Amino acid sequence: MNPEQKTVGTVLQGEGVSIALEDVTVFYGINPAIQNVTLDIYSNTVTAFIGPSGCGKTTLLRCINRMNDMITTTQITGAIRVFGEDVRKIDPIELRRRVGMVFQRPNPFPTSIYENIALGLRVNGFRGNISDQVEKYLRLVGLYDEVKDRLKMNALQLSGGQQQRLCIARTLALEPEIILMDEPCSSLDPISSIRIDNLITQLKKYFTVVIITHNLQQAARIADWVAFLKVVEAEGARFGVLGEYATSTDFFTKPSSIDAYNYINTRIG
Amino acid sequence: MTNEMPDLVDIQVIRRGIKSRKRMDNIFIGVGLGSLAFSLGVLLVLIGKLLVEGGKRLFGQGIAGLWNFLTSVPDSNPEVAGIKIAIIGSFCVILLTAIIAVPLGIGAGIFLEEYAGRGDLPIPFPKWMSNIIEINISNLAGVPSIIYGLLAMGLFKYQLRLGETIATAGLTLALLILPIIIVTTREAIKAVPQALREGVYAIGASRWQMIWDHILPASAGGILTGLIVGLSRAIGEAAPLVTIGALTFITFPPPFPFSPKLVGEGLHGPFDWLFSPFTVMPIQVFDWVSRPRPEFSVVNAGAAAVVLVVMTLSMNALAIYLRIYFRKRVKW
Ligand SMILES: Nc1ncnc2c1ncn2[C@@H]1O[C@H](COP(=O)(O)OP(=O)(O)OP(=O)(O)O)[C@@H](O)[C@H]1O
Ligand SMILES: [Mg+2]
Repeated sequence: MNPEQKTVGTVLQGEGVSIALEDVTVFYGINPAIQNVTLDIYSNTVTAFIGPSGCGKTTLLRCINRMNDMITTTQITGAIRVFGEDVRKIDPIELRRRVGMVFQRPNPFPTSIYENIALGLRVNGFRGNISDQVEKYLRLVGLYDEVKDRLKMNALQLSGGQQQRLCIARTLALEPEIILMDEPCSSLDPISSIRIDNLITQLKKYFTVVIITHNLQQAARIADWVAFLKVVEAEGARFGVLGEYATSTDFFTKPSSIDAYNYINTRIG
Repeated sequence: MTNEMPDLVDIQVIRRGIKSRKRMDNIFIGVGLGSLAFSLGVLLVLIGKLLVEGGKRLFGQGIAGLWNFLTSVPDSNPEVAGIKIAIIGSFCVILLTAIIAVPLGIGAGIFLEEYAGRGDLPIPFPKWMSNIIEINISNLAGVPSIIYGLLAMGLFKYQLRLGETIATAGLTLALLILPIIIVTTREAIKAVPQALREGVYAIGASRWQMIWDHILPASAGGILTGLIVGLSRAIGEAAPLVTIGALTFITFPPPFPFSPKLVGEGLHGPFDWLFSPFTVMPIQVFDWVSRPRPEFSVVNAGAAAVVLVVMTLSMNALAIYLRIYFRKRVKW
C-alpha cells in the first residue's frame, strides 16, 4: 500500500476507516497462510477480497471478527483495528455483535427457519417485534415468498442457496456495523445473486461490507475497493500476500501488477 | 491409452477384480453371521433358562403370583419370599446415583470439551492438563468395579461415617459411572460440527448461550444414551455394594419422607431414606443363588434375575429410542 492511494481513498469516500490491518501475518501451526497484509477498509464502502483459491482470503476475513480464535493452532501477528480499537482488546462477544459474518459454507442452525433469525435477535436482547424483523430480512434476501408458509420447517431442509440466503438474513437482521461475507453468492442462481448484490449496494449506507468473491463481475458491480491477494512461494512455503489494493475502477481498468492483470484477464477472457 | 494402462480399461480384468472382491465380501458375511449367531445363541439360552426356571415363580400362579413376588418382602419360606425391598432399594440407589452423577458428569464433559485448553479462562487450564485428565478418565472407565467398592468402603463408609446406607451406595455407583458419562458427553459434544459453533459465535452469542441453545440440544441424544448406559450398568452392579457391606436380608423398605416412624414418635425427615440400610436387585439374586434349597437358588433367583434383565433391557430400549428420536430431530 502506498500512501497516495490511501489518501485518494479517504478523499474519495470522505469517511473514516472501519478496519485497519497492519502487517498482518497468520500461521496455521508452522505453515504461513498469509503474510504482511496492510490495508485500510473504509466505512460505508464495499471492499472485495479476490484472489486464487487457497490464497488466504477466508483466513484474513476471519481475523477481523476473531473467528480464528476458535482454531487453536492459529497464530496472528500484526495489528488489526476495528473502529480504531485493537480487536484483541475488544470483548469477542461485542466484536462479533458489531462485526457480522456470513460463512463460505452455509451453516444454518438446525432449528426452524424462523428461529434461525429470531435466535440471534433474542440472544442479543432485541426489544422490538421479532417476527416483523424476521419477515423484513427474509424479504430483503428474497426468501420470504419461498418459505412464508413453512417458517417452522427445519432450516436444514432448505436448498443450499436458500440456506445461504437465510444465513445472510440472519447476519443482516442483527444490523451489525460491519458485515464480512465469505462468498455469499457461491451457490446462488444469477437472479438471486443479483438481488443480493443490489441489497449490498443499498445497505452500504448503513454498513461497511467486506466480501470475498470468485466472481469478478460481481466484484466489479458492487465493490468500491478491491484487494487482490496472490500466492507467493518462498523458502518452501506457499502463502498469500496482498498483491494490489485499489479502487474497483482502477483495479479493473488499469491493474498495476502483472499478476492482477493476468488474474482478471484469464477469468474474464 | 490401452497400452499404457491395460489393467484399468480391460473389461475382463475389471470383472475378475469385482468377482474376487465380492468373494471377500461373502466370506466376511459368513464370518459375521456366525459370530452373531453364536453370541445371540448363548444369550438366548441363558435368558431361556432363566425364564423356564424363574417362570415357575413368576407365571406359575397367574398374575396374582407375579404381583405377589414383586410386592413381598424376603422370607425364609421361598414360596412367599419376594423382591419388594430389593426393587425399592435399587430404585432409591439409582435415583441417588443419577442425582449425583448426571450433573457432575455432564458438567465435567462440557468443561473438558468446550472450556479447557482454550486459553481464555480466568484460571489457567492448559491443553495438556485436559489431555492428562482425558486419558485418566478413559482409564477410570475400565477400572474393575470392586476397586470402587474398596475406595467407597474407606472413604464413604468409614471416613465420612455414612455406614452401609443408600447414601454410601449411591455415591459409590455415581463414582463408578461418572467416567462413562463424562466420556460419552465429550464424544457427543465433539460430534457437533464446528461450523455450527462458529455460526452461533458469529451472531454474538456468549459461550454459555452457545452451549445451552445449541450444543446441548444437538448432542442430547448422545448424552442421554451415555447416561442410560451408565445407569443401567449401575443397576446391575453387585460387587462394590457387597464390598461396602450392603445387607442381604432386610424386610423393611427405606422410610418414605414424612411417613410416621415405626419406633418412637414423630415423622421421618425428608432425607432419612438416604441413611437407611438397603438391598438391591443383584444382591438379592446373589443371596438367593448362594442358598442350599433349590426353591431359592434356582426358582427365586431365576425369577429375580428375569426381573433384573427386564429392568436393564428396558433402560437400554429407552436409550435406543432416545437416540433415534434425537437423531431424527437433529441432522446435518
Ligand atoms: N483450519 C486450518 N488449519 C490449517 N490450515 C488451514 C486452515 N484453514 C485454512 N488453512 C490453510 O490456509 C490457506 C488459506 O486458506 P483459506 O481458506 O484462507 O483460503 P481462501 O483464499 O479462502 O480459499 P478459497 O477461495 O478456496 O476459499 C490454505 O493453504 C489452507 O490450506
Ligand atoms: Mg475461502
